[in-house]
Amino acid sequence: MSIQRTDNQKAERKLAEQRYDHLQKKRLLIIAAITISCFISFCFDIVTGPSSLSVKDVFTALFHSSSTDTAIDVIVWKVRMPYALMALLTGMALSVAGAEMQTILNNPLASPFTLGVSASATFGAALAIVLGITLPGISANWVVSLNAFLFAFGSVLLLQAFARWKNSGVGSLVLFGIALVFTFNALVALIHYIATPEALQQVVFWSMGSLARANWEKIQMLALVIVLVVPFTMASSWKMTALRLGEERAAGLGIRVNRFRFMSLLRISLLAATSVAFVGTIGFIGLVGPHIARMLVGEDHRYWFPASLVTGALVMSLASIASKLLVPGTLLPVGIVTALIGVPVFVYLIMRKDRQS
Amino acid sequence: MKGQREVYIKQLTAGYPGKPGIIRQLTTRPLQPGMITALAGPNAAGKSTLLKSITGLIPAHGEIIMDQKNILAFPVLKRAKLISYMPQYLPFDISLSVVESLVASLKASPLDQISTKLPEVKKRAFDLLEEMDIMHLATEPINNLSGGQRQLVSLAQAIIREPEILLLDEPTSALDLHYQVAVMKWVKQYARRGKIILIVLHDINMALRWADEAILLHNGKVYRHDKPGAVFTKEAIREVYHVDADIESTGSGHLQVIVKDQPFD
Repeated sequence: MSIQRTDNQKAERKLAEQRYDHLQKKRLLIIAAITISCFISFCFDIVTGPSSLSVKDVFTALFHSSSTDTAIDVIVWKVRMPYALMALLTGMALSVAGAEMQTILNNPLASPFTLGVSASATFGAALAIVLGITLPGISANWVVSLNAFLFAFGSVLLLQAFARWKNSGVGSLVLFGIALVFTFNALVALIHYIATPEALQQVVFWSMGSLARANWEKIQMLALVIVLVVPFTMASSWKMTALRLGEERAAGLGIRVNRFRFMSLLRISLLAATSVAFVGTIGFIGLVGPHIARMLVGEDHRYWFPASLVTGALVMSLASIASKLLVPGTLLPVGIVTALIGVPVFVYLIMRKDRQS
Repeated sequence: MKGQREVYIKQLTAGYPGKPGIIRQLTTRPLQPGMITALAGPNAAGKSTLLKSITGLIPAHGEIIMDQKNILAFPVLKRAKLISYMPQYLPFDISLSVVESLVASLKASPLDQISTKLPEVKKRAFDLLEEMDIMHLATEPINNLSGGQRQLVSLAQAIIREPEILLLDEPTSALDLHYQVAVMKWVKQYARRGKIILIVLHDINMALRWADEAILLHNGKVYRHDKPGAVFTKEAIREVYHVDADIESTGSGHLQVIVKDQPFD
């Protein structure tokens, strides 16, 4: 059906195509800008800290390691670097997990923290520590992570079952998630009660959410999980975007929605559980990261996933800096800071959801 | 070749878990290429169930024959290359522009007949916007669109895959007159390319005005399948909808259902 095209129409099309290309470019630029901000924030994160090192000291330690004295070396390489890197990595993992979760559960309030995935991972980790579960030939770190993962995955399956059973009512899913949070928090409290003093210390640390125990081994493990999982996340971008057009439409496109969702839940569990196993329950990053990213680049998941990744890293890195500066001389658990940022965003999202329905 | 592209629905039974057999042993006349077939019937007669079972969204038994093959036996991906299903509504709160949604509709699942390479998909999306005369909406966020514009975009998402069979679930029920006509004009245009269209229409006057044939469903079965004028008779409307109505011919020769004054108790 060829329609006679007027010059006017041709001009309009050209303009629309330009606007579209411009939009795509803008999105890439935004992602690049956030990435650069991440790097800057990361540098600040290394420079700030209770032991007052000068910027120059830090940079010498970073780039001319042998020429500085060992105390500075130790602080920079063993304390601040792992701390700052861990902030970036957990931010990435939790934010991407949150983004995936929001799409497959069709709910902007979904995140590993708000729906109890983090809480159940914490319980899994606590259980492994208190029971002293060991597996031959596997380091204790991995065993704790593995158990955290199993519990995270279990909770995610529960969430999916609930979403399908109740036909994904947005409000009721969030309430169910909150019920999970309460349940697992209670179970963790129970573990507090029965744990030995040494184990208790570790478990309390998990419940708080802190970067203080970051070390290079954990960083490698989390980085490995991110590098292995995120490519699959990216590969699912088109289908995820189609899923935003409605589950029935996506299924009509030939996407096997149940299997697709299951694979995504697996990725979410891996990302959320690994970060929880190392830094404890750090809340709201999986909510705030994707939300800011959505406002900046929209929901074409080819852009939204990477944008969520870097936004989560940036927010977490900034929170890490804030955790050192808010109370001078004290290192706050970073989870407290993210909660302070996250709760207002959460409330805002709830209110917006209410207005719409 | 003639007659091969017809679609026959034979002995189709489908339902939901816990609610099986919403449609039972349903058999239609052949659905002809180039024709709009309206699907009408009271609530819960099985209209949406029929569309969903053809799409493959819910399991079904029986046969849907096209090109001498049973579509019901096709795997989901193969079926998706042949059929597009347009749900009643686009979900709210999607942060996507119109073009992005069109591009994703093609990129999310491969097609044989159309290239799904990005530059070509992009060109195709703009071609379609041009044909549908909604180029001005191209980079508009879907959330900013009016109800009518949303339905046109939703239709574009279904059409961009060039399905042989297009299934539409009440695309016009919430639209003002302007957009009712705009959507139906487009459905008609698409039918003219030799496609098979099955469209759920609640408004019998819309069916009389736009459809080439009509299927009136009643209790999960075909009550009548014929030309719209032969389907929507006084008797049929009384029996299926329990409403007394007259069918009148307008000055321009179109038929119209006029509901009689209802007695109040």
